[in-house]
Amino acid sequence: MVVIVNQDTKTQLTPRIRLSSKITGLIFWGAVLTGLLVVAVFIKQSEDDQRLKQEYQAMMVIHELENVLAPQQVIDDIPKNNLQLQDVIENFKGKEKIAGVLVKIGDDEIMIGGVPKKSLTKTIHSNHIVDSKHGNKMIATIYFDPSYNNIYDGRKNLIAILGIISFAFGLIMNRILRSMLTNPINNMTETAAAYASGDKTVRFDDSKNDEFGFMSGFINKALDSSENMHIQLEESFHKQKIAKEKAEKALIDLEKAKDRLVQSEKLASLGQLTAGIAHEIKNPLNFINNFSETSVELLVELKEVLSLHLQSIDDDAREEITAIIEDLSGDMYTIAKHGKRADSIVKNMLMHSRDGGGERVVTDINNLVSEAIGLAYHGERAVDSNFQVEFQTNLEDNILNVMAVPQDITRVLINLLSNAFYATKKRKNNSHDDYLPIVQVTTKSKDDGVKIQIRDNGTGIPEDELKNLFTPFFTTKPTGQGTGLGLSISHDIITKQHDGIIGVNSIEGEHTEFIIWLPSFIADGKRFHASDTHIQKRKDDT
Amino acid sequence: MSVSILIVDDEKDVGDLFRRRFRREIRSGDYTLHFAISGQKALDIIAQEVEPELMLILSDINMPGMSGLELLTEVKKILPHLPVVMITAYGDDENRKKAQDFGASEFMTKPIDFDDLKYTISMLVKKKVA
Repeated sequence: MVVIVNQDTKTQLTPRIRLSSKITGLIFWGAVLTGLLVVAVFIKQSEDDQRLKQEYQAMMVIHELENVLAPQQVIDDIPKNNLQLQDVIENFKGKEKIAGVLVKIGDDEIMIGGVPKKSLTKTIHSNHIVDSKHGNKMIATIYFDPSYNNIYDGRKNLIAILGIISFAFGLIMNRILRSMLTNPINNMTETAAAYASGDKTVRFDDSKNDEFGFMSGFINKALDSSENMHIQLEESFHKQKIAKEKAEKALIDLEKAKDRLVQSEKLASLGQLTAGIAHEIKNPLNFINNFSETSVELLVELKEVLSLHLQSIDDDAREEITAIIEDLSGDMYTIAKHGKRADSIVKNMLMHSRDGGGERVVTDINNLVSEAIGLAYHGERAVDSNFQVEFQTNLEDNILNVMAVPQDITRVLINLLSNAFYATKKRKNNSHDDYLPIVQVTTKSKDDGVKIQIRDNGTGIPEDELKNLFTPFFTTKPTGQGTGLGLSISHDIITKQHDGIIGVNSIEGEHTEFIIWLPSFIADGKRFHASDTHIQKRKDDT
Repeated sequence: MSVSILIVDDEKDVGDLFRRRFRREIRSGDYTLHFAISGQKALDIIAQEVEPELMLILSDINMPGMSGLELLTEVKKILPHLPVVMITAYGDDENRKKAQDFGASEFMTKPIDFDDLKYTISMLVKKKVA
């Protein structure tokens, strides 16, 4: 079976593969972006927390300062070396991560604690304590300990971890989705592509207990049934092909049978015509033969009568008369001779009109064949004592019996055999090498009948002569050696008289083979073999 | 005694042929030949009671008008003991069988073998006289 791979199918597959990659890519980057968003929100949250905390601590600081300085809501200056203030700040320094506070009111300011490097600061105004000179509010600038940032740094790690986790999550999701979604899709696509490119045995992986597995199972079932259908179709196609071939062969056989029938009809009508002509010629021939013979007799009598009177005639006249009588006798003799020849031709021609002449009897064809071989061989030897031939006979044991007119079948067999001898002799005369004439005679039961093959390795028959072989008067022998009626009469005997078939095949320079088929004898729906003959005979006797 | 023979054939030359072939017998008076060109003419001759008395009829089969076989039937009605020899170009079995069934004494085919015919005639005459 030839599978044509559609190039379009392949190009169509690419976008689908891209689609599945896109899905996993989208999921991956989605996860990463979501992670980053979470991180960003987290950072924002941390910053807000820090700011609020700073504000709260700053308020606590200002509140404590207000408590310490509360009695004087309006002050001129900040009391230097105020232990209470010192205590407040120290207290905060201990509890909170505050390094120092710069308290300012008007132009007066005091720094409690230290100012560290890279310190975060928060400035806050007091609502209660105001400068007496200018009415300015007290301002406290709080310096946070740099280690305060650690809170933020700790969160930074967390953020990084979160980022990594989200990336890892994206990656894992990608992997999971790939194994759950993309790979099955890709596998299915590859399987489908393999199927499309002709491998009808591939099946989708239906081992997974998910939609892909189920879907693959269903598709496999569909493929199996399609494959079965395909096989059935192939089978039915094959059957159809065989049926078609059979029908075609039957048609050819029918045509051949038709041709054969037409040919045999033609030959039959030719045979009838021949017989008709023969009859018509017979009558005039009757006169020719008889009158020529009586003429010969009359001339003899004339000579007798003249002999008494010839002495009285002069020598010249006597010689002339005698010569004329001799010539006339010779001519009459020749006419009688050729009349007889014509008569024998006519007799042969009349063989065509001898329908139902002989009686058909149950016949063992092997006996007839053996007999005919003997008769033909001895007949040939009688004419040509140098004649040599090797017989190769292969007669089937216990062959089917036929209903035949034995003398007519023998006539056909002798005719075919003597033709075979003629062909081998002709070939032998034409060749100088060691040519050995061989005539093969085979009989066997075939198609509810008997097949007789007579094959010679003689000159063979040219193709253009084969079609005329059974036509009356067709002969290739020199004039006087053949009437051209032997095979046409044989054809009549086999086809008309015995409902058989006669055919010939030949290769010029190689061989000629005549094949005769005769239907077998049937009695009570049974066919009998040669060995059954006695049964039949006994039946006839009773 | 001369053997009186009636020859029936639609071809006139057949009469000439017989006369020529039996020239000696005619001359010596052994045979007396009568010739009829048709079956009807033959019946007329039989009715005329030719001299000497007919000993034998030789008849063709295929003739226009009355055929040889019809003539044979008629003759057998009038003269059942008169031998009739059928002579025909159509020497097939069907004709042979019919001739036999209709009572023909002999069945001969053309071309006629006159030696054979002479022998047949002598045998039939012997039989008839006996």
